[in-house]
Amino acid sequence: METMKIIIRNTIAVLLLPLAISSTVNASAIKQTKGDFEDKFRQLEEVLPTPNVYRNASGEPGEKYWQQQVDYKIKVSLDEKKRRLTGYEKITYQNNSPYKLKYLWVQLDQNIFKGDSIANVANNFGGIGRRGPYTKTGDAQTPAKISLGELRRQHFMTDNELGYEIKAIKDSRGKKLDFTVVGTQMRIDLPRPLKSGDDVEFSIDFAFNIVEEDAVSARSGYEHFPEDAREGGNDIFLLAQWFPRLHAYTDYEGWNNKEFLGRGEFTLEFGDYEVEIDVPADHIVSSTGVLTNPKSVLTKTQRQRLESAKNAKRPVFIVTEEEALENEKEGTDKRKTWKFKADNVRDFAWASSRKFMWDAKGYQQGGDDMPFVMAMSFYPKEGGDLWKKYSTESVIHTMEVYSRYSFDYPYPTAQSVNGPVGGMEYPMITFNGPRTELQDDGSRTYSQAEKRFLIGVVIHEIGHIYFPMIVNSDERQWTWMDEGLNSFLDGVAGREWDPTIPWGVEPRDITGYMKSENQVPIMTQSDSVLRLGPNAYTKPAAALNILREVILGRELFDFAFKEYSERWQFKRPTPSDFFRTMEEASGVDLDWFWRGWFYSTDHVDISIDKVYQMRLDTHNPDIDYGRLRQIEADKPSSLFVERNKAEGKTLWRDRNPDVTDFYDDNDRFTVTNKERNKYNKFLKDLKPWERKALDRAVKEDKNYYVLEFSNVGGLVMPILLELTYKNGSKESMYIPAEIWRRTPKHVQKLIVTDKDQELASVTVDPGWETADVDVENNHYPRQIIPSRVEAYKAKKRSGKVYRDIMQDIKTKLKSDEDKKTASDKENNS
Amino acid sequence: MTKQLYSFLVCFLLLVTSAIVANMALAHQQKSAETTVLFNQRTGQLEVSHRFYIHDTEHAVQSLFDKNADIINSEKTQRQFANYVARQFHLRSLSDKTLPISSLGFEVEGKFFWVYQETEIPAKLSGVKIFNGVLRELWPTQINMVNIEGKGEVRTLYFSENEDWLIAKF
Repeated sequence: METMKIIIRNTIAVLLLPLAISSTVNASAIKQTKGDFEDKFRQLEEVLPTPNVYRNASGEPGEKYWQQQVDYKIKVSLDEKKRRLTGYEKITYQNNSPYKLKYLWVQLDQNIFKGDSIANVANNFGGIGRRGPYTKTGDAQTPAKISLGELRRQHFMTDNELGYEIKAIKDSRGKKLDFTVVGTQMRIDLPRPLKSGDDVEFSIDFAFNIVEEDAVSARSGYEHFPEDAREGGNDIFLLAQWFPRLHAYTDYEGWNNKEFLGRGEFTLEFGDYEVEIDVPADHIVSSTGVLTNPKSVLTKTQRQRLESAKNAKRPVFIVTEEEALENEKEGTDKRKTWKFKADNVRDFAWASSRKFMWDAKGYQQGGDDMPFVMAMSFYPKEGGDLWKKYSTESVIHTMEVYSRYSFDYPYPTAQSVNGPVGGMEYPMITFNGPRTELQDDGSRTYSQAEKRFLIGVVIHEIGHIYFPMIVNSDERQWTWMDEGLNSFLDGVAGREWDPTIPWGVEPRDITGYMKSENQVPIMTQSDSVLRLGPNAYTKPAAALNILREVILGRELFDFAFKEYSERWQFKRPTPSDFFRTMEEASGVDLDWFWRGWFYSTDHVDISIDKVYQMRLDTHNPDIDYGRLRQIEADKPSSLFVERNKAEGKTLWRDRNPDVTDFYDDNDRFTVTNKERNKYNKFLKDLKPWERKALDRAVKEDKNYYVLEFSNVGGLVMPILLELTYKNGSKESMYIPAEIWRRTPKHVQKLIVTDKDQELASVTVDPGWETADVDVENNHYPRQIIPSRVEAYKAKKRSGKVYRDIMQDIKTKLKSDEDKKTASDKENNS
Repeated sequence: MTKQLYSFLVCFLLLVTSAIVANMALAHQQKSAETTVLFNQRTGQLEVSHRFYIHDTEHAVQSLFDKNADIINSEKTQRQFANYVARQFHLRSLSDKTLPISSLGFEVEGKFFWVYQETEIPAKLSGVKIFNGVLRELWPTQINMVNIEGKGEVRTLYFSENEDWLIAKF
């Protein structure tokens, strides 16, 4: 038995060994095993995928680039009472790939709400990064906590049958197709393989119960308004991720089979949609696409108003507030079918409610692609003036700015809808949450914060129509590709709205995160990122900001960014396509930048350690020896000698002045002809150009400074310097990141200044442009940099902003009588 | 079973007041705060600076205090929020002795709201225990990051849902 065991162990050891080796090889293809040199400028050759005919080495779609096309014809009916959606979709799948497909994969995102979904079952009770209401585990001393929100979620999920009911999947001749549901995904087996270039038609009958958005924290659902005048209240329905949608099949991933866990969003195929939406007749529907049957669903007045909105200066109401208020008072049994058509979109979403007012304003974009776009907003009374004033205008502002940096907005409509979702984007339609507050006097007000929030969120979500709805990056894998780029651009658009509102991402905003422990690189799959906010939004946006303002400059950056947007408009870019395009179009090798900011968790911390001054050796003994004598004389004299002097000790030399010799008059710096002859020979041996160079340098007698820097944070960056001279003048200097190429931890820089420009101090990154996390080591000589708290304490606390006007305004004006009473009191006390 | 039921009931009562703010499943708010606990060796003070996105706090204050609360313009709201932060942030020594941090004040700076606290650096501190519950009972996805600085390498503690007291040893 014993022998047997040993044999087994040996076998295991033999089996394990090759695995272990291959995993190390995978971890890093290249290893530096001598010394500790790290090539921060190493090209991303083994990191980026090998270029091929589908995506080339420049970051462009390759000569044989392909993507699938999926067209949908959908008929869907909303049962308001049961809050249930029933639909029938006819799908045409066009296989443009060079491969044949035996089966198709479909996304069933609604299945995330099923009790047995991976998202639910693998829900780490109280775990990090979880979506949904608050839970908290207990231990021996503290009871476990569960919030009412979590209970509401659980109750809702117990009481309601959630997830898709897939009733039938049939081919074009009505023959049933086999299908297998795997969590939030479904495989449909085709009767015969779909050849490259062919298409297949099939249909799906589906239905599901709509979730209450507030109960389950989803990206769509209904919101109930129990206070409305209508008996039983009203709902706003936001429908997204609502129909079975084909998974993406790509050249870089094949079928993108990634279970929907709630965080990593999605990517889909482009296609044409015709959707018929059957709703209660008193509902107003906002949807991806263009309404094709306005005569059947809109009144003549509404159609006229839409027409007049086209050239209006301010949004025109298609449904006014009064009309909406009247409408929401009662319901109807009648039904209407709204028909929409949308071409070349990667998804389709809609919203429906009898509560909506509706405004519109035409945007004359010009150009050949889409000269006219209708911007529209849909919102209940709860949106109020905030929405009337700013929603549609923000939509148009976004298109104006984003188009300049990417491409013309290519769709006929752009919409903003108020509902329970805080902020979410789909082609031509966005859901945005900010609202007004109802006051006791019946008025509706909103804070300055809420106003900023509305404008900001509309810009952000409309911006998402560009990235990733048109530049179709894969959100389920790389959230940063749409959130990072979009957070960068929404800052650009925000600052063009009103720069006094603090928009966008400044490099200093990300320093706290970048110096922290336990991070993952930006290049991490969405569901695995520990902190999605700083990792997928702020850090990449700060990186792009720095790339634009500090490294490339606006001209090169904007050109390259536009090139990326145009290349990948209506196509499917991956991170490497972005990295390669930015590099190729700007003409600047940026591999070090991507490596540092996107592939590592290094941070920026450049320290200036030392500055020392040097003077040119003239070789002329009559000059140099004199200088050496002066240097010697400038040294502090010996304390021993000084104390002897102080004690009044007399010197032998002074007591015996009659004994002297040559050395009493000539010190060791005395120049003789021996040195002069040597100097003359040195001059004679110089070539004419050498002589010229020396003469000039001696004449100019410039200051030579050596600046020593160390890279504490690890991330290589340009060194931005401010040099301050003794005469008070200042000079900026830019040392490219390449200085770190061969010695990434420590570098020296020689700076030569005119004779009268003597250096007094040096500051690294004085404008906080590089996200340097520690400014204390940015000064030479070192300065005491007050901490944030010290700086705060030092501030004068008398600013008008600190007055509590809200409280103070209640103060009664004192009369003379009051004063007298008060002084009496004081006297008595 | 009984014990489990009991604990659920207890917390049910504990959290009755924690309102869930109108859906926060948005792609816009950060729902993350950063705190720096700095051992300022120069001044001998242990300085605490909390940084919040105003986007995050603007709705929080309406839920925590009243619907007219305004984090940008009302000093009353700002003070209320700073007091709330003080109630939700605690420091202890490793032997569970409370470090009495006092409130210094608060300020709005651009898109951030800052809250400041401090205490003297105690002698012989070999580590700290920290609790940071700010906004976490309000939002499930709130993450509070605490960087501990001035004691060698930066140490980081993440406070999210199930995190109670976390420890950093020096």
